[in-house]
Amino acid sequence: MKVKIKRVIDGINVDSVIIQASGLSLPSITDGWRFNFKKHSQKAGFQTYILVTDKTPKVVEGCIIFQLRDSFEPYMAYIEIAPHNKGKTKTYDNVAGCLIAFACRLSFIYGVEYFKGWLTFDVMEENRDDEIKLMAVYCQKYGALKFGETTMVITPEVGESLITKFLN
Amino acid sequence: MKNKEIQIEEIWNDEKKDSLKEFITVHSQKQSNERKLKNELLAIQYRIEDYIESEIVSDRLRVLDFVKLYLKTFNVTQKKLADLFEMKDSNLHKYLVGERKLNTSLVLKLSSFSHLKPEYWLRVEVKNELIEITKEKERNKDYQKYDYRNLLVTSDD
Repeated sequence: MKVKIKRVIDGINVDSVIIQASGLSLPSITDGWRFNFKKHSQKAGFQTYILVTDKTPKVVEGCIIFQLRDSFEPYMAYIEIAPHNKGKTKTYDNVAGCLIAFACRLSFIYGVEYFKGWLTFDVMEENRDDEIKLMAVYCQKYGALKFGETTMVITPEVGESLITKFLN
Repeated sequence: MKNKEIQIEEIWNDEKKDSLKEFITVHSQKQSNERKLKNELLAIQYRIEDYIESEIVSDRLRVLDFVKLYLKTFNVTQKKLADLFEMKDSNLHKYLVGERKLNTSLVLKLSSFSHLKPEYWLRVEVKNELIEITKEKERNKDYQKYDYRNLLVTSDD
């Protein structure tokens, strides 16, 4: 799927794609990422997608793993943006937004009955304070609702608006 | 330990799973009928978009396959749709399965029916034609003889 991410240095929107990662080299902890996408993508029922720009198709800007739990419930098992897209010196903006919106879109396509369009995910940080901060970001920036200690839920209404904002 | 990866299994148990399912089911039931319908329609729209945008297609899907998704959502028959479109069911069927090429009128009717832009329906047909062309090209290498250079060689002779 074609998307645009924002180059921070000049604010230009850069043509990019979110593609299924089958057969492609995936990031891992040894590459400075927090999650081992290489390993997790092998699990049954996990759909792995990467975001790359048209000009640098071998550089992964962000990655997600989507899962349909119990064959009906959409779940974003993992999401991470590349280390070079984090912090004050990040290269691109909107990578997380595009990936979350993409997962919302998958939740419409694959969610069954009551779960159509509902996306859930967990925020997992080693430090509880970091976890709370990150959950607050998901609430404020992406309209996610908090459920329990670590789980977040995106409703179909919010999912639709994220899709409109980041994928169109 | 900086390199320790937190596993999903560490934070999930059956009780938590069940309560989340209950939370979504309860909230989903509270959605208006209009919203529930919108969820279904968006799902179909995204499926069509993925089909027409995809570079690799394993299964060829006809216009009928997508129309059927709408009919199922609205719980109406193809006959009813034909009535709505002021067409005979058999005639409509020929267009939907690709026996006849979509015309402007039918594209606009499908667009109005599905609340999708006309090009969605047209692009499904074009996509299917491209799939056929690709298959034919793979099946039959004979088309190479139509290369214009063959014509030029003949002219020179």
